[in-house]
Amino acid sequence: MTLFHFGNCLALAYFPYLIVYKNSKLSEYNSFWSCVKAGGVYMLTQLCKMIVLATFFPTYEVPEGKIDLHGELMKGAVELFDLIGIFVIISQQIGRGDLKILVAGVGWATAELVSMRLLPLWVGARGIEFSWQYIQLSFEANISLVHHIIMAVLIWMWTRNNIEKSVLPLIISLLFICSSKQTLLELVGTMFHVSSFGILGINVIVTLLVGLITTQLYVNLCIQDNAWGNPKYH
Amino acid sequence: MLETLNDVSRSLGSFWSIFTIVVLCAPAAIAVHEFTAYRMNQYSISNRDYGCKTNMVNFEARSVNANVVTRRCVLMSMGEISVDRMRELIAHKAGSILISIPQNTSSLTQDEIDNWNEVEEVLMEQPVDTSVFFTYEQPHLNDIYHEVKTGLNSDHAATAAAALGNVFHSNGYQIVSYDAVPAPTKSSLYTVQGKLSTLSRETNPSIAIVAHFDSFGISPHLAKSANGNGSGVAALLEIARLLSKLYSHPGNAPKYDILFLLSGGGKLNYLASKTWLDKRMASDSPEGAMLSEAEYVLCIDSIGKSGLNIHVSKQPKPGTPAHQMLSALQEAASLLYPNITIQNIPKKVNLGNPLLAWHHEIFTVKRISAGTISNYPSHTSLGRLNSFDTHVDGSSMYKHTHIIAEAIARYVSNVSDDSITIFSDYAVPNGAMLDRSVEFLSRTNRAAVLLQRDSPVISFLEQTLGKYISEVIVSEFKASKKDPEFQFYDQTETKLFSYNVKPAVFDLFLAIAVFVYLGAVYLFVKSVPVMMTYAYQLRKLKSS
Repeated sequence: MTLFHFGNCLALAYFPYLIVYKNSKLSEYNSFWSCVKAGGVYMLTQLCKMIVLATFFPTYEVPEGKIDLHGELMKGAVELFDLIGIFVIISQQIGRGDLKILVAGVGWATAELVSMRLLPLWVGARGIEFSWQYIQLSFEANISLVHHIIMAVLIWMWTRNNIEKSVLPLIISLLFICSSKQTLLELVGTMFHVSSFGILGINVIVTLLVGLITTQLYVNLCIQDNAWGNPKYH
Repeated sequence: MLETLNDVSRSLGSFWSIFTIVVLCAPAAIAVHEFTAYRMNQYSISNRDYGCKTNMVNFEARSVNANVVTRRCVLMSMGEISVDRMRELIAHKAGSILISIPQNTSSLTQDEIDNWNEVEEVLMEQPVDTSVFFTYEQPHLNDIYHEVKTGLNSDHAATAAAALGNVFHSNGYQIVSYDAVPAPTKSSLYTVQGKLSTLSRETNPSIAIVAHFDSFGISPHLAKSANGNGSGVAALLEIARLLSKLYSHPGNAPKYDILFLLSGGGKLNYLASKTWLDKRMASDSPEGAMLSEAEYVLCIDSIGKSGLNIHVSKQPKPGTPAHQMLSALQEAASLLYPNITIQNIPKKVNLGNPLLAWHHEIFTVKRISAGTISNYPSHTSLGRLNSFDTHVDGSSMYKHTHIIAEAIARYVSNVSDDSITIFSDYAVPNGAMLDRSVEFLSRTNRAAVLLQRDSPVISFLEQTLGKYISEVIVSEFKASKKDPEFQFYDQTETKLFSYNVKPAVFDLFLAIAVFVYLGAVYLFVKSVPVMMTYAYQLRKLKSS
């Protein structure tokens, strides 16, 4: 609506990232450049995804109201590249488990914020015309921060050797949900004509649920590692 | 490989820098809706201003009955404004008024049209500081209009709490125009003239037939003026055709020269005719002499509806050309269409009024005998200057044209025999031609402020008159630079944009909400290690 509105949206989107960065291990270990490198991996992954999409999945003309189910599923499949990207970051990163996770999650999410959300905000939120979508976009940035940290946790856990075999399928299914969450939300949104705030709400609930389960698994794994009790880990 | 990578990265880098610059300089305006609007008239005659003086719009929309209209844009539809309310809006200095008119004006009732004519007169009586725009009804504008009408806004909220609630739910609309300030244009007035001469070589007596062809309405683009004076022009062209037929028989060609004059400044106090007359008489040209010596000048102004009157400046005395023309008209009427009687209405020229009442007064003040034929009984008749003059009564126009043609023929041939009708059988007006001419004229833009030398209407007149009459000349008059007799202004058509806006307080509340949320996030993040330790200890306890 005005520059003030733009400032509001930017604050809403970006300050949580800053808060997480400053108050976690990231600032202790001065891992700013690690996060930037993680951001670079993100850009590369997006590039690969775009090339794959353009080459192998041509777009069909979709009539208004109908959904190109085939196309959407294909696009969802390409999202798996994200998992590979985060895996690359985690394996490259030197440090303990939770640092790796934080670097991957925060770096990835920040790169997404800068590349996908900043421009629409700059162009749109400053205009005279008001639309709720900018506040929604900023709030989505928050959700994606949590979401990517969760994804990083899940991938890290998957790479560990000393987890129980029974938990592995759960992790894989959670990962699958995470990577396809965006596609599923869009499908649900168009099929049931949910308002944009509704989609946001569903997004929050799904992310919270996945987050709780992931936290539980993570805590179990840390206990197995005896990580918390170990003074070296604090 | 490395070189190509280098090149790629360099081009990417330059792309990104250009992209960033372009984006940073992009205007921060995303208009969801725009619509075309037509501004009210703005012109001045003899240094006297008329109409709307400004075109600035950057105001919040309000409905007609809003409490506060100062510096707001008032939206209204044509039917819901009363004369008093319009006066109030102007007195309260409304920033801008946007009036939506129906696409199909024939759906309006006569009451609505009459009411609107009165409102138009209020708008035109004094120059207004409010920018007044007209637009055709369209769906999005209607939506805005209804929301603004029924929604609450901060101007009149019942309680503070209600005002707070409104802050989040209300939808305000800002109407904006990005046009430059209206500037004076270099427009001109035009006349089209033609002379029908007899073959005799001595100086012949002459008469003149005059009609103005420009249109007038509250906004130049909306003016159709089918009756005033599309009907007059169509009639003049048909009469020219019939008279040229009469003159084509060398044996019985009448002794008079006839001058046809179509002038383009009729609604502007007949300025084109006046200028034409002044210049011709000053320059001693043959037409000037012809006109100043003319026995009679007959002006045709709106004959497309029922009723026929001849307006003169003084009662014609028997034996004068004016009286002769009057009798010719009355004879023609009684011969051709006995149901139609022509009223003779004398009215003295009111020199105190800057605006002349009828076209013939231009000539009578120069002591040339003249009169105006019109279906309106008075120069102040309602509907004479209105914007919804879109239809004529075809049969009335036909009959009136026939009567006038017959009367002129009788006058120039000096016939007063009751048994002869000059224009009958084959030589009668062509009704289809008349209808087509009026239809063409009413859909062609003829507002004086918009006319150019190559405007379709001037070409039409030139060509049509040229079919029957030789020596068709188009004259152009520019206003003199030092003391312009008339001045037109541009920016008659514009694009208006509507933006959905929230009140300023909304931003403040949003900022507070974001601040509170960030505080919560901060506290949560701070508490994560503590929570994790707690969870760990809980699990440890359970497992041990």
